[in-house]
Amino acid sequence: MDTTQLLKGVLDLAVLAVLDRSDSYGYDVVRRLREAGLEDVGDASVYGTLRRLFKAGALNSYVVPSEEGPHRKYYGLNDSGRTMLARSAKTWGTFAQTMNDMLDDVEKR
Amino acid sequence: MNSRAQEIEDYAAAVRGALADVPEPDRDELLEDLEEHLTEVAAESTEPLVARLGVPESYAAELRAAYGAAGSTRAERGTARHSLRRLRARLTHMVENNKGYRAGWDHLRELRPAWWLARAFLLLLGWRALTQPVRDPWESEDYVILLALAVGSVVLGVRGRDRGLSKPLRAGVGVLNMVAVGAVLSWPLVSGPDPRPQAGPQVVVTQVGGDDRLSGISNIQPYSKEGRPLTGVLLYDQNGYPLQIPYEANGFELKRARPCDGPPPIANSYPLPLRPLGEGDPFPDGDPTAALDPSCVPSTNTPEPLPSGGPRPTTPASGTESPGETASPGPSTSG
Repeated sequence: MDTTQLLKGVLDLAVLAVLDRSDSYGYDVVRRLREAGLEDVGDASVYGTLRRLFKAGALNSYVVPSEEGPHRKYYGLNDSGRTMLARSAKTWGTFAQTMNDMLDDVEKR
Repeated sequence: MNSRAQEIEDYAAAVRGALADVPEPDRDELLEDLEEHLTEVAAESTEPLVARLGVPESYAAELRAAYGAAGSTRAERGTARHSLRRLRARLTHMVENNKGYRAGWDHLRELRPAWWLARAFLLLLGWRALTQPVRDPWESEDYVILLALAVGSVVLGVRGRDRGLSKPLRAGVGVLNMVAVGAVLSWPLVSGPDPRPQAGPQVVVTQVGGDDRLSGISNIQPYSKEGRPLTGVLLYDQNGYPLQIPYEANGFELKRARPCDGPPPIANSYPLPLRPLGEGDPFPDGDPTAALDPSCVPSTNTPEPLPSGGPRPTTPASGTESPGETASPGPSTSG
């Protein structure tokens, strides 16, 4: 199964989860998502998602000057973002549980 | 490393180009640290950006999709209007981001006031070309029209630049601009050689000599080299004397009204208005100077018919300022 299709639905949640651990900038978010196992995640998708979440008011942002390399725009969760994360995590938990239950028989077979 | 920087720049430009139709604040937001991202990706390995990120267009599409497809709604996509807007956005983007284009464009924009004046001039030229098959010299009213056109053109131009024009007005200006450009492009077609008789030297009669040669000639019909009949052409011999034909000897007389107290105003303005002798003339043996026709026109000012003697006149027409039927080689009389 193509994981990119699945990713589309949960990328917001994944990005929120990464930022919940610590503030981060775009490229770092991509790297951490990949390290966590979402290897198919696209750079542009992550950047687009970050911008959209920021525009929706879930994130705050600040620029950190860098001595070597480009300046980095860091994103972090604000209260609204944390609420969104909690709600989405709950939805995902229920959804994942449902799917697991459905597939329980298949795995045992 | 330098080529790497160039690669980043090119990639970023392509992505920006593909997202050129996204409305302004969103696009800025979306592309804000694109270069920074590309720089980080490029630092990862020596792999080309395209291998790691895909072609710029798909990167842009992904960015757009993840952001929420700002710019064009799904319904809009695929419509002609939408593609046109996209094309325009891409072109604008291309012009804005290429240094050469941009420099050229900026120069052109600086020249706009000159264009406002030029189009007024061209408009008048075009108008004259359309309405006058034969080019007349500029009259004072032409200059007045030109001035009015120039003022109007500049006013429109300044208004358009500073405040923008209403839609119908903009369309009108567009049409006028096209007419002006069209006038320039069609100029060689409509202008052609000037068919009007040129001053003196264009009409040269070389075989004018003794009376014996002229004895059989009663009139001269001058034609321009394009074959157009000319009127009011003044002829002189090699010494600058007015050329007169002994038309009376061949049975003709002048039919033009002449002043009672002198010879016909211009005796060497050809073709001569002749009629056969005796036709409606009370003096059949008529000597035109002596036959005082009762219908002659009393003249108040002394006619100055002939620039007499002396060196050959360079511009014969300038020496004849007599009233009435003077040499007027205008197209209005010759058709």
